[in-house]
Amino acid sequence: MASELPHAKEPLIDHLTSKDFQNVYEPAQDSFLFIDSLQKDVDNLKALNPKIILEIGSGSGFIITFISQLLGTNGRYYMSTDINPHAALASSKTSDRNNANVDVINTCFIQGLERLKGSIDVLLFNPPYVPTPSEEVKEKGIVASWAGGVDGREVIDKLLPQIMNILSEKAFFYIVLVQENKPKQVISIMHSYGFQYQVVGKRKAFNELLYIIKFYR
Amino acid sequence: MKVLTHNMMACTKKQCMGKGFPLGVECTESITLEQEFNYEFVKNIIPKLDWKGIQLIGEKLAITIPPFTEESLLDQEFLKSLYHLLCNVKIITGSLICPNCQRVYPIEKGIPNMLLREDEIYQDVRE
Ligand SMILES: C[S@@+](CC[C@H](N)C(=O)[O-])C[C@H]1O[C@@H](n2cnc3c(N)ncnc32)[C@H](O)[C@@H]1O
Repeated sequence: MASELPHAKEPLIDHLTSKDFQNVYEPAQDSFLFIDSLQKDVDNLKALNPKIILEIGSGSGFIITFISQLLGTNGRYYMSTDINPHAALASSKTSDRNNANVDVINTCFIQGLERLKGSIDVLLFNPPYVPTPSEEVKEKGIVASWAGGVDGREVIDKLLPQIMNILSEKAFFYIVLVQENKPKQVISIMHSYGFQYQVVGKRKAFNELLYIIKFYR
Repeated sequence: MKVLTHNMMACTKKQCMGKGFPLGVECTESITLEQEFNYEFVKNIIPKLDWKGIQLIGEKLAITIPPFTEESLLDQEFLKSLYHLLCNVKIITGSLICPNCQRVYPIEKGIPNMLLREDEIYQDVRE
């Protein structure tokens, strides 16, 4: 399956240097699988015709910029958030570099965007998913890009109960999960909130088995 | 921070739930983008807008939008200027102020910082 994924045209990130990547997550296999999976799902995305597209934890801005190029900016509103101020700035720069028009907010999940609830048509999240001691989840900066606590699920599990209120009725929610996150458990939690799922990407990268799962009602 | 984003915002403090919007706006630098008008987009977003918030930020940016009425939906000029305000005007430097608790959220390099400090979160949970 992995080999069938088309390789998507990547946004330019040549304005970011190794110094930036000391503070900001550098696009890696998970990010690449994410954009390849969006590319593969492009017909469904176009049929959905989303108006408001938001990425949580956009890091370098690689994914949100990619999807804005994939679906075009006319008549669509792209937003992203990140808890790390360096990442928020990097996302904004990457958007500018590629004329993507993403509006970036420095916040935790979508805190402060209270009135956006029920309006998001596409939600994207490549979370901190690496299993770590719980204490590391509270850390700031680059650690927040990977530290996921027990089973790598602590940050993911905070978001899941909010999803049904965040999304519009017809929305798609795409998330990265690794085997250690117990994807089946996540699927059954989301099922209890009324969501179906589809595995839109799967790839083995070094020691990780990565999945891109799409949830929808 | 674009104007539409402002319209979707509220103070992040729990104590301000339902009372923390529209956020007050101070703007020292803004830019204007050139996104083409899109009727479908603006028609879709209108039911979700808070008009008090539109008036408030419009005043600060010296862009006046006539009050919304039923006829506005058929008024091409109204829709165009509304779309322009929502999607093309972006605050680069400034701040947002909660109307309830007066908390100030800075906007720098186009990015609003909505994060609360540790002590604020703690205080918020206790109150
Ligand atoms: C694995 S990185 C992904 C970065 C980028 N989206 C990519 O795929 O290359 C996870 C990102 O989520 C951010 N993050 C972690 N916890 C967050 C939270 N509670 N709210 C918002 N962003 C968060 C991190 O700062 C980091 O930028």
